[in-house]
Amino acid sequence: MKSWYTFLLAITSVCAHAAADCPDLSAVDVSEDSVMEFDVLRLGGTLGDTACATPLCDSIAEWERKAPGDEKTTRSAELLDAIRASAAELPSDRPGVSTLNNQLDVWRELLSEADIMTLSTAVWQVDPFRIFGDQEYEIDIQEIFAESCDTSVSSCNDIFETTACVYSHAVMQRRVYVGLLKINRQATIQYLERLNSRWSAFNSGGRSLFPWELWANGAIQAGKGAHRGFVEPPTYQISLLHPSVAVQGEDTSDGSLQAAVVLELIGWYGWRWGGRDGAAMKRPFGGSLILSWDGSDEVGYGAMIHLPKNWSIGATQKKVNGNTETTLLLSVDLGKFLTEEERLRQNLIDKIEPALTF
Amino acid sequence: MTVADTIFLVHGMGHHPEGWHVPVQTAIKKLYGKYKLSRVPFDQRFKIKPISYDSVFRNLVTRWQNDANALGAAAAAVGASEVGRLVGWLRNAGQVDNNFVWTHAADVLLYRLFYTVRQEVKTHVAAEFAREIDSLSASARWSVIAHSLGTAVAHDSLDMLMSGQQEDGSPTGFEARNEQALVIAMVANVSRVLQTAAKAYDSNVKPGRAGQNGRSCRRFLNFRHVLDPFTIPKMFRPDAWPDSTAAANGLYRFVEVNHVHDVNVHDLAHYLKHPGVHIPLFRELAGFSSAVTLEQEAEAHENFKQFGQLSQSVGVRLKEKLESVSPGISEDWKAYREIWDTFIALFD
Repeated sequence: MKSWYTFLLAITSVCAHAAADCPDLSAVDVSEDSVMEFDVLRLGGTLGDTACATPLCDSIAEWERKAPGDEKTTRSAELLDAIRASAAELPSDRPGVSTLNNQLDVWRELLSEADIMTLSTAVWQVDPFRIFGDQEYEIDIQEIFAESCDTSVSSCNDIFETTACVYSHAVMQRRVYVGLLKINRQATIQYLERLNSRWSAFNSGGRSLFPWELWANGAIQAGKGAHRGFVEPPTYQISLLHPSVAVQGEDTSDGSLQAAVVLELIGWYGWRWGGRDGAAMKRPFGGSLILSWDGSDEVGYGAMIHLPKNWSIGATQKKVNGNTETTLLLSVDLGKFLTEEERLRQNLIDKIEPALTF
Repeated sequence: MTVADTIFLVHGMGHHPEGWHVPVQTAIKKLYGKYKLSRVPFDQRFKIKPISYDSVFRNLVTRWQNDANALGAAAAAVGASEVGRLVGWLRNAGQVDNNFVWTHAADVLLYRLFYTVRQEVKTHVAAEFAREIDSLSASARWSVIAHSLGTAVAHDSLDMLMSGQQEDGSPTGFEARNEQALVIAMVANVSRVLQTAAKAYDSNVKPGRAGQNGRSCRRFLNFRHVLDPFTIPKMFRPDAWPDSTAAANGLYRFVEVNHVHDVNVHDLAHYLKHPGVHIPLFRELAGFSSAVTLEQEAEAHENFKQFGQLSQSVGVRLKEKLESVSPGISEDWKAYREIWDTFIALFD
């Protein structure tokens, strides 16, 4: 069985002695418009990219499918050597070839001295018609075609093929670098998704925060410094003039329940991040100082503790006919409750509706 | 397997339900069909990727509306008028029809003033960018067309993505030295007036050479309508930016237009209609100057009517009205309050 590695070495060996690894462009007619023809090839992925079917492209594609690891990193160096060996076979008197080879040499040295993550690999991110865009050593493909194709069709054909191959080598080089960046990129995407879920939980998943509370909580965080880059959300919220509804039972003989409105003057609610995606609010707990209204003339004063599932229990006292009366309160976070109810209702409708549609 | 280039379309303020991008995409495709680059079908050349963040605002204001309505009834029943007044102003916060304050103005306020909301929007959009960029093949490029509030969101999110580090401090692979947009096109740019930690002139969102550190794109296009009042406070209009070499090489371009086809000159589609906007955009997105030939460009400008379908007299009157509501140059985003009041009055 021929492993991809021996296959690669074989290609390297072939490239060192024969023609460069270039896409077959024999069917391309550049007599009309070389720029448009190049554009079509680029967009078709033929030039070193997904639709490139040269042996070197195949090796890169096989390498791209490998799982990240030391072996993949080691083999990337072999691929870069193969690209360099192939480019060395291009006719050096054609536009762009010397520049490409110089840069391949420079980058081979750079890679042996520094970690890939610290290098400016976007140098190899080709523009549609430029390689090394706006660098001193830029290869401007439109300019090359303008100089070669306005005078002679035969020279245009040769220049077109070489230029397409130069572009193809730059794309292959970029493919290897992107493959090496992949591990960090995918870890970053996971981190960003977790951060996003946490911020969403902070704003909408925990206790309802009214606009003034959301602003105040944000101002506290913003006050901790100017934040660029990724920012972790806090693991607590401050409640400020937070209203909610509750039911209360008084310590009266009939023990009846009645509706009440609670206003948390100030409070605190904290949690830890956990769960499968690391963005669930685990072990939430907190407390607030509260006022309560129950339809009587007196306002109650007291405290409330906040429990998981957005439930809160509290106790207030008020003066009634000169006596101090204690009342127990049970509250559920209203907005969350209503939103959940609405979602359940909508889910039900979504399930029933198709069955009723003829 | 084609390698179509991705265009991220980032919406502005207002309600943007699923499919919001379809009319914009249709308008872009129609314009695309007029020029030489359309020899390659649009869908082979470009893939439009809409970026939506409106749901972050809508979830919040809907929740506030639900809370306020439930609380208002309860507060009235138990005589807690103080609580009723506290939440009364939120009772229609979640409505999306004819509710400009909550569907448009609130978006800007929530983004600019509410730190935690801004962080959620930024991480949401940065994750969208990152996922798509990571999925692209090596020679496929990506560009951004952002409008209005979306210019601030795109700016802040890209700067976040390109200046962030992983949890353990290691690089992300999305730094500008590793990844650059081909084109960032800001339409009705308000990124400077809404800037917070990342300053619009100094952030990573600048054009530069391939691989240049701190330069997140190769080309930066900035489109402004002279009568668009939202672009006036703390106007994004740098000189010799981001440096004299980049400016000399045309990596940054500022284009001003002044056509009046509709009262809403702030609208993205209204901007795109103008050949002074869509022609440079197509050329830079395609990456070659003959994507729109000089003849096609001259013809497009010649056929483009200053007032579109409007008669000359109606157009002139509308232009005068718009001129009368243009605020003075202000350095403060709070000028938006006056702008909203006057601009919206024109729609009545």
